[in-house]
Amino acid sequence: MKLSKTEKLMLRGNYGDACKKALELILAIADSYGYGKLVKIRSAHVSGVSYKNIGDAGIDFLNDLAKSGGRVRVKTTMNPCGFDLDKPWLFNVDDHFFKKQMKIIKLLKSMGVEPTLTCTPYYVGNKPIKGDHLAWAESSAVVYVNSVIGAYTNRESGPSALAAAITGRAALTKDHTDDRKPEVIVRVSLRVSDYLDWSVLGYTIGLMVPSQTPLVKLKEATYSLDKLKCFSAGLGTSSSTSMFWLSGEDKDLEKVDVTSREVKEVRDKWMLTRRPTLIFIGCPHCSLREIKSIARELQGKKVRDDAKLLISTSRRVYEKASQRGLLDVIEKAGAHLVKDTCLVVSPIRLSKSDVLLTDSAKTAHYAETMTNAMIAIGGRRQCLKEALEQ
Amino acid sequence: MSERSSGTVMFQGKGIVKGYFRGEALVTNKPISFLGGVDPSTGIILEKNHDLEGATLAGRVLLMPHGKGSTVGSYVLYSLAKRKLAPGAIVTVKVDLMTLTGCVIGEIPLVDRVPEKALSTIRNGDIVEVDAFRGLIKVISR
Repeated sequence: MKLSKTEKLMLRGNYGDACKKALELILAIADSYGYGKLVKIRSAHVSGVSYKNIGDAGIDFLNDLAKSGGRVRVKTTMNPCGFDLDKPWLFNVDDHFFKKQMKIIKLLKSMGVEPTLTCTPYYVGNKPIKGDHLAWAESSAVVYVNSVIGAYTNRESGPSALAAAITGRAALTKDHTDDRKPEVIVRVSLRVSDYLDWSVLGYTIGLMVPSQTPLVKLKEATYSLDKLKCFSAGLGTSSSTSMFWLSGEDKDLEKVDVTSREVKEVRDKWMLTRRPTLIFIGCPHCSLREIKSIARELQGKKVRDDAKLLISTSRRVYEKASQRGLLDVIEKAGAHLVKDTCLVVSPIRLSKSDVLLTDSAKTAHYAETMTNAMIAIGGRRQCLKEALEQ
Repeated sequence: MSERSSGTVMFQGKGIVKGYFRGEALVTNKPISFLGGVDPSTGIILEKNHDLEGATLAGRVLLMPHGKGSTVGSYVLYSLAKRKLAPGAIVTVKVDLMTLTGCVIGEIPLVDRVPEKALSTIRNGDIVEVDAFRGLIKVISR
């Protein structure tokens, strides 16, 4: 493989042991899955932050990496952790978990990773522009920045994104070139309008074409960036693709039809048949605009005593919501605006008698593997209505 | 690409993480998940109904089609390697990102792209030599 002078020095250990090991990993990836070349990156986003996900093995690795001089060379942000740092009690966090989680954040911070603790770093200052090369983990963000913003990133793992951040380089694969093209046409005949529609559509497409990049042809749809974010998260959950297309070359491609029947199968599986005890909105993390519209719905109303309503976002957006008085409205209604975390990466325990209602197919998918509680999906309007006193 | 000249069975793959190891083979046609599928404190395979359930990874040559599951599995391999509980070498047909990452950070010799036939030819307990510099797998005795 042809390496630059800097890369040769990195491999020789002149930039420290951590950088050497990190480059070895990026080179092995480039060799196995890429074009045997590297690409310089503008930013990185690291996943595998929650102690629930990476455990002691992950701490072990991060600790050694930090001790051997690991330091990021580009702007790097952090995925959510296991709880809201200011309200750990909402997430069944015990002392042990708390300490381990704080240790992980401290180690990542010591390597220069910004503690943004969000799956939507593009809302909080890590905002790529079209044509940027990145090394991002977190599938929902990967699919979003590739497809909606037009940046280029592999679907990195936690460790590979961190290695890329430390070296400032990613493996050059198809995802970093204009060889990335639609591989299958998905014709959607049903109408998609609210967040749940988009989320479920993405998830359903991924179930039907789990490893090809889809060109999605919609007939009747209400778009917004926030909705495309929900679509990205749904698709990234059930598919291994790193992007989707909404327009592009469609010559000689296989065609797949998504009708209301395929979508109904997903909706029926997670149908609400009892009163929810926990209502969760904010997977991926809510934008300020979403929080504004939720606050409007909650104005002057009250969450049922026997239900908990969590709305999740990033720390930075939370602060903005607070400044604009939205936090006040939400808290007065008895709901919780939470930050730094989400249901999926938190150690929250649900009992068999609990009923979780969410407007995210991604949350429903992962919650199913975590708990015996009943899992249901509903539109954002329905979620709020179910949470409130009638 | 197996050769049986002079009685030795050899397979050619591609050395990804360089190194050399000789040890007892642990062979499966089923992908292994290191997160959840392996006990991180002992290196024993826990996955129910896996044909290697109960087997120990420590010091073995693990031959499998590829790994599966969460990329956190990479950290489990790293952690096992640090405590000398990891396989001495891993041989795959088509390596996944999790296994590749775990081998690089855990410094476990890795040979990828061996022919599938290797998994049916090499048997559990065979003594196998892995030369990950040259990507060569040699069966020493069976």
